[in-house]
Amino acid sequence: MPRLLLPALLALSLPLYAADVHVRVAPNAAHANPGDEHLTTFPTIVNALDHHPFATPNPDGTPGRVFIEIVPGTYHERVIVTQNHNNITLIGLGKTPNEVVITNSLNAKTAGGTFFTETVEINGTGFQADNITFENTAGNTGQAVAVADRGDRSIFKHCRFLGHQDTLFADYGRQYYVDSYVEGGVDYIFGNAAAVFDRDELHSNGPGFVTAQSRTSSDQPTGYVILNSKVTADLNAPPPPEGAPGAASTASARRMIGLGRPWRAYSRVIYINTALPAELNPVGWNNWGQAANESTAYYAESGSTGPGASPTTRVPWSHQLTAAEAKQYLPETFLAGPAKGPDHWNPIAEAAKLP
Amino acid sequence: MRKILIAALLAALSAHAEDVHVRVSPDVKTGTRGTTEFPTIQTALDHHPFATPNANGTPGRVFIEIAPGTYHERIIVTQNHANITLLGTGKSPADTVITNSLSESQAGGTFFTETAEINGAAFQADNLTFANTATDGSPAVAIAVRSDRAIFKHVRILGNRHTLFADYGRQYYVDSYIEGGIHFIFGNATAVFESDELHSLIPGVITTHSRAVPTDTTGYVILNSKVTSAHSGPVGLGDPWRTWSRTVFLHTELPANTDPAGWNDRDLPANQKTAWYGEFANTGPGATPSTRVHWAHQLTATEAKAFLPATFLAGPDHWNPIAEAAKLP
Repeated sequence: MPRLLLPALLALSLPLYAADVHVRVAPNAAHANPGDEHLTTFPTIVNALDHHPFATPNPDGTPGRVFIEIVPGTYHERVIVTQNHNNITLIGLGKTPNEVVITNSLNAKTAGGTFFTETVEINGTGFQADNITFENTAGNTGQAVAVADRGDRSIFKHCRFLGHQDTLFADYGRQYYVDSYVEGGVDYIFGNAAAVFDRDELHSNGPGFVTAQSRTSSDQPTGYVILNSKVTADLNAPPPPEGAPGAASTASARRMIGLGRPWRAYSRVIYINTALPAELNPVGWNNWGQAANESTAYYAESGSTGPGASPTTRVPWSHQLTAAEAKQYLPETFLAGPAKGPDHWNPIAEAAKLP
Repeated sequence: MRKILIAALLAALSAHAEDVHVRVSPDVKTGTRGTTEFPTIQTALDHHPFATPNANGTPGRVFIEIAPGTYHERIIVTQNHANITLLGTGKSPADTVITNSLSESQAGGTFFTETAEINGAAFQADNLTFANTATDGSPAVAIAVRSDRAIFKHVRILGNRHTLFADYGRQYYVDSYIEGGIHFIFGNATAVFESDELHSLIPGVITTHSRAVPTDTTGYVILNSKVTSAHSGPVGLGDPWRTWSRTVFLHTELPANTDPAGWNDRDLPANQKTAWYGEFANTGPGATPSTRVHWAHQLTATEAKAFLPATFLAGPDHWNPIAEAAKLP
């Protein structure tokens, strides 16, 4: 009797202690309500985030992960991953990231501030997304964020970020964007994260600066590294109407694109082994109208290629690094964690585990 | 020479001052980098000078001192902004009001409606009002707090439904006033409400805590407070937004129209085994232990002690919210 009972008890208790949790999002699923925590299929991504079963720690003590697997479709919703939700992975089940689209349309004027426009907001640590498109369709109407990422140790792989001004708010924590596509016009990657963009395409769909990093003091380990990537541009789109937010900065870029400008004084951006287009303003960088920023912002390139690669014409206060000097900005070093008590996060190994 | 030295010393000192004080007032016309006066709270958050660590290594704090007025704006304190204090400089919290109007149906989700969103650690607010004036009946959050070691003292939090999203981290609300209709305090924070008034605007349940797993140490504690209502319909103490919801009322005055059952299981009997609701030494006409649902707990003094702020909020870093709050005006 005990012999029979034991396997049955084990089988019952195992699902309760399974480390990882896999749930599915499909538009035709029934909506889950409080109490429906046993469900594993949900009609919207938010509904899945609200009601997924929780993951338990792995046998080795590392935390379990919740995989939210999303069937192809266009999801008209706003998604928030709160600090209560660590280790969430969103996976698009389509053949390409184009098949799973999370989309909303909100600009700074309607939302009451740039920081409230995002289609998707990530605040939980250890967030991952794979094979998904994030979009804000407010168009060329001022600041309109597709993703606000404030998740430490976040990874985006095979993702697309679509918008115009302020598309990707990479604002806090260590972040790794790999094999992805980010597009926008003015300042379309901005914030104060420590972020590496590896093998990405950054596409300017209007004149303006690719980055506006916002490090606020010299001792912060934050900055943007664009690595083994490609900057492309299509400046045929009409400029924003005069008086629209960002129109002035567009003018300052003179129908060209720039590598970056300092949203805050100690802004830091490094391009490594990246192809730059002919539309790039030969001076490269801009001080946002404040000469004082030239002594605090840190802007550098190493091994740039393509028609826009032009070290001799860059602003004199920017830097050209040797491969050896650039090494400290590679993801395994730059994202490994603070000098004191680093957690040796290895974003490349983590990203390799994703499909 | 001596004069120059003193001037240089003073300049050096202010450059290394630990704390930073900036002022917000609607009559300020500037509000860009390099200044310490701003026309809106958000411009102050965007452009305040940064605090440096104190001599003893503890982090400095940025005090944003807000002149009386009604500030029609949404504010966000991001994870990049730890140790921010918002101080109303009026005579009472009613003099300085941060207000917006956005409901779930307009914003695309309850979680996007908040007038103020607090994500930076160790946030403090004193002598202020946070309001969401949306009245369409769908949830409309006045403030979403996801800040560990947050303190609210002498504040008013006003709304109609889902007023206070107390969702993440340890939080201490003292000498404050919170009002709303249904579920006006909700989320998964570890929060103590001490010497507060919780005011129910329409019949409904006050709290809906959302602990999701039994190993979480989160919960709501209402302590030495007063529940009041603007109606004669039933006022429930709490129900489980998530299965392991946890809430206790201690030494709190309950009105005559308190739902005699006290708590409900949201029509899911399974929640009776997982949700954990308790009371101890409550007073007023609504304090009726014998009529409560059988699965709720009446605590002993010893059991109640575990929920006092000094213990319940201490955490591994021995945070002392009472001492911290005492430093605020």
